[in-house]
Amino acid sequence: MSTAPASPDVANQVQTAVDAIMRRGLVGLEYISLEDPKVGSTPKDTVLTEGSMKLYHYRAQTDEVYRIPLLVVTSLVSKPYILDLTPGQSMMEFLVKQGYDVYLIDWGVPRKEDKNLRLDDYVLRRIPNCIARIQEDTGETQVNLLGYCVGGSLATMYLGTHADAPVANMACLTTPLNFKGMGLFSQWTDERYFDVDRIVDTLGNVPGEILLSAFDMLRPTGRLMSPIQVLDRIRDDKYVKSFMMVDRWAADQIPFPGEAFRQMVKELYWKNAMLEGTLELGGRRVDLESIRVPMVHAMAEHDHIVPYEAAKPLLDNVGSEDTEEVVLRGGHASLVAGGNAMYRLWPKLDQWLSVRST
Amino acid sequence: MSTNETSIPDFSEAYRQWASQSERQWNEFLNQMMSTEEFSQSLGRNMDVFLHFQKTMNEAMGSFFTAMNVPTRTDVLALGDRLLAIEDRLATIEAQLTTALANAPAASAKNSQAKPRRTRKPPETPSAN
Repeated sequence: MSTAPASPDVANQVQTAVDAIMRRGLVGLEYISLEDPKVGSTPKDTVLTEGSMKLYHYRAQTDEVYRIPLLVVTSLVSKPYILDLTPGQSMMEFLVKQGYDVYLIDWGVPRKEDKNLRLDDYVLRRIPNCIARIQEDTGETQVNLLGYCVGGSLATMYLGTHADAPVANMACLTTPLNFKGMGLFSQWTDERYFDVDRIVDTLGNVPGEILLSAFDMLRPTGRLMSPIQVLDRIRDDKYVKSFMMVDRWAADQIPFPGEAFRQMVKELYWKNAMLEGTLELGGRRVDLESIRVPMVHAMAEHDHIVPYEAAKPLLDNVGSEDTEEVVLRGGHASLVAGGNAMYRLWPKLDQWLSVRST
Repeated sequence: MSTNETSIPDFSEAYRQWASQSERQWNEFLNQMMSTEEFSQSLGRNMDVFLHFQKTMNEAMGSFFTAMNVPTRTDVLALGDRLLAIEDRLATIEAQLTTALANAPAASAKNSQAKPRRTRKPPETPSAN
């Protein structure tokens, strides 16, 4: 009796898979063992500091840049390095290489003393201060805004309270406006059972651990299934690296400034005040209708953090005539970082911004 | 009709589909459970218990430190507030200095050489509009 020799194709496939697993094992160990992976490494300078906030200016990597500088307003909920993960997977690096003069607001990790920071402080003081610094630095009168998640909401609040804002265009990425559409978050912050005053009065800033648990609960099987998905694509080095970086970012949760949290829950979750047009910051009403700049809003099809219903009404409620809504495949983080973003969001953003940045 | 090729089921694909479906179903089920009023109520109750414990601990520790004549957390935070105010003022002075230096004639000439021209045009492609 003779046995058929193994097909060379099968043998090669097995060999490739084993090699990849071995290499991944080593690279995986490298990622797991790193205390502080190198993130946010696109070269930049700090041009303004205010408390824990920093305004970064990314160093140009082209001889010529677009005339209008771009200010990126990041979220208060998470660290901003999701936008500058690692070389080759960084939205900031991409924008700089495309010739944009990029500035980014890093709100920093709130310290105990920051518990009194309100949305008013971010919208009426810090964003205007950053824009003034950029005007001074570049000699340009106008900037373009790019807001991610709650950063987009802050940028919208800024425009809604400053009719004379020196802003030429605004791009928003998965930005919530209708807080009644925030799914489980809306349920869990039910006014009858969620004592936000007691939380803030007792804890000051809302601890990152509480926020992380809330995010994890949105996708209860996530912690279990994610490693299984990684195993399934173990041969795809880029995917595994990207997954590990994003996963690390998601777990790197920062606290939320207490007073701003109280305001968000009471004004945005309970009253839906931004959408209703009743939100007031420092005595100024956030008037969405007064926003006239061209806007693009990119949303993710499978965003479980800011669902489509929460983000969709943004463009319907501003006064701008030149608007564009973009719905792309992916989730809240993969919209802006990783393989999907490289081929979907970034080129789209570049296409929209480039013609509006001269 | 006979064939020499035997069709082998693709177990990895079947497993992938099963995993994806199971995940979706479990998430849907658990999310549905967590979207009930009872769940929100119980979450609120648990948070209350946690906050009560936290408050009691804070008060007890505060009394203990006061009795021991040691600064409490509130005292340290008050110091932090004052440090923050000093830090803010330093940052303002630093920013003013940076601006003043950048505007100085020598630095200004150097900077204008170092900065890229703001003349970039978008590539020749159909308009985004």
